[in-house]
Amino acid sequence: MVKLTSSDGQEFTISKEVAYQSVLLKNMIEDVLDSEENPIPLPNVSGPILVKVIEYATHHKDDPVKPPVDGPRTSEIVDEWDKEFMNIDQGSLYELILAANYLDIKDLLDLGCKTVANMIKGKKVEELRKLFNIQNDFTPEEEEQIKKENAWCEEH
Amino acid sequence: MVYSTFNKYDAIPDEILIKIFSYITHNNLNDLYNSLLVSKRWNKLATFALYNTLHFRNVNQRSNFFKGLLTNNEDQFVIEKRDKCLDISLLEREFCLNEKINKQIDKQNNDIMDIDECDEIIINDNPIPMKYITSIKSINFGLSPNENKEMNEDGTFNNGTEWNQHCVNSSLNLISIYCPNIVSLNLSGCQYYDYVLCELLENCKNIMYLDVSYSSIKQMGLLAILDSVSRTENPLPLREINLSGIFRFWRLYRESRFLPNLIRKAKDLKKVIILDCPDILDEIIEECKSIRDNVTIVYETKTPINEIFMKDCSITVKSDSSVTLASNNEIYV
Repeated sequence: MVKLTSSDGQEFTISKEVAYQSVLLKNMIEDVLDSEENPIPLPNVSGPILVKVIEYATHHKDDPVKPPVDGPRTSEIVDEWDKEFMNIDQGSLYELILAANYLDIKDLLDLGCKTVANMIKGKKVEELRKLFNIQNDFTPEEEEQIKKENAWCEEH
Repeated sequence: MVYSTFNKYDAIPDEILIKIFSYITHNNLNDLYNSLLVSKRWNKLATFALYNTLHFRNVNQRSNFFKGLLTNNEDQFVIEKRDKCLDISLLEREFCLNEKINKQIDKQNNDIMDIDECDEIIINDNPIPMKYITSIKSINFGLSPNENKEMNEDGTFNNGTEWNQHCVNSSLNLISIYCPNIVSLNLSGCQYYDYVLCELLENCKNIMYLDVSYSSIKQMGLLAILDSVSRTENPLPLREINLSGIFRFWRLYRESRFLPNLIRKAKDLKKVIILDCPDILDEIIEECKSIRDNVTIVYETKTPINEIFMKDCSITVKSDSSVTLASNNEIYV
């Protein structure tokens, strides 16, 4: 078993199998011998997000190692469990992506990125700004310039 | 369920946003076009994702893109190369058919017909800046049979593209001129002349990933690949090649031992994909495997066509031929 401490001081005990889903934890566990006694501090991951990460890692712990995908990478999420798992609010989604990135869990990071890509799908520029809470920092001239330079990829 | 109150996308690092945008380039370029206009940060990262890996979804995009290349007059060296190497007849055939017809109709209406003027390139007013063109690393024509998920009842695929839209001759000609630095080229399902591919392999010296599966490549094109990996100056650093669905290996094996030689000569080669190649014999694969152990060969074990043919022949010879013919109801010539 392995002990983890989240940024807000909560302690979690998980099996090595689950922990090994994270490349970061795998390396830490292999380097430090007594991780069963001394909890590994994760200052970048909050308790509620760590719960989600552990839920994901536990569900996928028995997955066979997937070969790298050949061909086009679409944002379609095939696994129903994954789809339901990602049904969370936007703030948690960002935090989960950051945690997956920090802990180096490739599949979870991919899943998070696909989810955001699907949010962008079919939205107009204004809708995107609103959804992601982004200020428009272009002058009208700059905007015109970008439209011109990239006109080829616009479909009507 | 709300797990946190954290609501700023700002904390997402650039490389993750690029990853997100790269998923979108494989979906729909229109979504990416909108992302370009959201903010300066999005613009910078989406631009990178868009041009790093070009993935055309339809022939209009492709035609607009290559026309955008043609109208770029920033670099004198490229202009000279264009004047020297551009094949206008290929260009006309691949991209300008509709415009040509419209133009002719317009002229007909004005009672001035001048078909000979057609080798004038029809251009749009939106050149693609050189800074974008030079950042292109990978080009995918999006015609791969694997992408066409809609299958018709008779097993054929339908992705809404006409057969003539699979023709990419002029695109390849233009890539040779404008994008000599690409590292990955996906020609899966495309139609092209072998000599156009030869030219491209001479110009694009950095190709590491080449997919010619299910394409129209013939002997000359395959031998050009072999030549380009074995040339003394700037050999092609080929790492991965997809040759699935190509039917000429038996002849190529006899005449030039294509596959074993490719593995022997392409020093950087790590992976060869040869699915759906019915005339690759087990002995060829065995030989290929024995050359170098750090090359992965992806193939399926199945009886090659030659053997099926031979087996049936031998049965026919042993038993009464008339009965076999009648029961098989098939005639091998």
